[in-house]
Amino acid sequence: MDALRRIYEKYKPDLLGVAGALLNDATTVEDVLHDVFVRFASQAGSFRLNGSLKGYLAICVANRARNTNRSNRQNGHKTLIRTGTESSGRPEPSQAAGFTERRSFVAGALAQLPQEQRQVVVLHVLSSLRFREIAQQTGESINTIQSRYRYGISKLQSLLNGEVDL
Amino acid sequence: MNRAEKIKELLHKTFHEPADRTGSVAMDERILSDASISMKQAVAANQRIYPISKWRRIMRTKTAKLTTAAAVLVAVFVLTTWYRSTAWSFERTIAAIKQLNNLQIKGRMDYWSEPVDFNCWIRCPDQESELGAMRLECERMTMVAHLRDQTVYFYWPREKVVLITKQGSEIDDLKFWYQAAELSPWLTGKIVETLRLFTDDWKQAVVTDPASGKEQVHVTCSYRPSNTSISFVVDTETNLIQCGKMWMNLEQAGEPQFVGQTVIYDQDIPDDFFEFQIPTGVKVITQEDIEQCRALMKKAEDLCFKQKKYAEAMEAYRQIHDKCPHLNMAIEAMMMVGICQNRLGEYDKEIETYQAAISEYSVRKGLGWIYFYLGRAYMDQGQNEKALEAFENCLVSNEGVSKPDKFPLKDARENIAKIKGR
Repeated sequence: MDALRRIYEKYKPDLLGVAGALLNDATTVEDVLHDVFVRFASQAGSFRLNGSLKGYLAICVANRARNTNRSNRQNGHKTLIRTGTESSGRPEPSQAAGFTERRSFVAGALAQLPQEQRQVVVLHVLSSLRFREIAQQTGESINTIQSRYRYGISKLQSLLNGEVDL
Repeated sequence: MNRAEKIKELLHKTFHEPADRTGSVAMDERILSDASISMKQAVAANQRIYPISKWRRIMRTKTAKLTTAAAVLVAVFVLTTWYRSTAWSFERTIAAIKQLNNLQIKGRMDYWSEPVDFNCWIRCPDQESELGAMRLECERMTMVAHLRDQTVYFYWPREKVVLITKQGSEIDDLKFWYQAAELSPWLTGKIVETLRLFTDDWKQAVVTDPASGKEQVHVTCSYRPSNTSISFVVDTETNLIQCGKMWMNLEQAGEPQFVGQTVIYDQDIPDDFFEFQIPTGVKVITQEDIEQCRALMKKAEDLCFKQKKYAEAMEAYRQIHDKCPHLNMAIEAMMMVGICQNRLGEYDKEIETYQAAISEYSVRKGLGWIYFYLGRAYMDQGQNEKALEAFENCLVSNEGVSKPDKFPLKDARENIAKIKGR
């Protein structure tokens, strides 16, 4: 139990960042983290780790976030993309002031990326996972992962161009 | 800083704010509390699962066909009492089993694909000692296994050979007995739970025996990973198994591989009945001999495949066969002798070697490799009729032994098609 608490405390900050960036509904961040850790704990004794624990947990969070987004869409939940302009998908420039606005703005742009690109960008940038590790954990080739990252960053640039100071 | 770097920095600034990265105390408590419960349940479950995984590993070995069939039946007895009635508690079941001293099973089983009558006696291990022993006799073989010193004796009377092996041997067939004994219900009772969890398609029905008018329970179940199904009949008065059968398929199709026709409990069997006396005038093969054969095999493979010194390799292969003719290794060695002869251009001798090996090990399954090389040798000599027969024998001998799309079955089929197409 002590080990579990240490793992939780060590990786929680990163995982919260990853979940926050990947979830369309901010209220589900806690649930995702909860599900990932409970699932992780339930594998005690039979757990076999390939790669780093941090990478494994980050990928779990990313997968769970994707499922949550999908489930919310299927259940007709209102997608709480944190932008003020859900209809056009492009945030208003006036909102790009201050942290809250910036957060809404950036999250909105991220939400417009295809899920695969969004996941790679977030895992690489926020969780500092190497492309090789993301490839290993997701079962994709490293070239695919790098391509997704490049396309994701490029699309973010175009979405955020002129809206925030790049 | 280029634009991509700026995007990264923006993401960092946005999602790595301290407030976002700490969460609430309530969240921490909820997650850690639930994770802790989950972990405890997992640990408890793993303690139950462990013997199952072990049992599954054991059941995948080929051994279930022979020395363990009887042990499985005994274990099923335990399961029967567990399932039969809610009035039976686990403790009562175990207590009843502990009172069992020995049993004898008479029946019929497959010995290298040949049905033979057998007699098997099992002395139940004591909870505090390791007196467990088993003696199995059939026309072709006698086997005595002891938990005490973890030694197994095989005696083949026709060939006048005794094989003595110890735990630690890499021969999976023999490991089975020891591992099954570790799971013995008389030692721990864990096998009850284990069997209950691992069997599939459990069905039971209470019927009246038309001959005796007594009530009986007929039970069938299967175990998918080892492709095994079992049926047995239990006397409801004594809760003891009266007879049982085991098939190496899930549907109970065809002839069973093991038939326990009668089971006799708690006879007066002297202890020395389970001691094995090496008969006079027999060849004794020990663990040391097996290790020597393995070393010879390694040397022969090096000579054959790396150094291409076929004459020397052939000599080493022959030594393996002569030293331990009853090991599976000897069959492979004979096949390799033939292959070496082929490389040396001794084609007639090659065919003679394969024929001799087939004749010597005719009762065994898995001679498909030798039949294949025999067929190829005939083909090379233009004797297509004989080649066809050999390839067809290959298909029969290795059915269920090799994968159909792999060597030698795939190649044998291709060669048959070639010959028939000519």
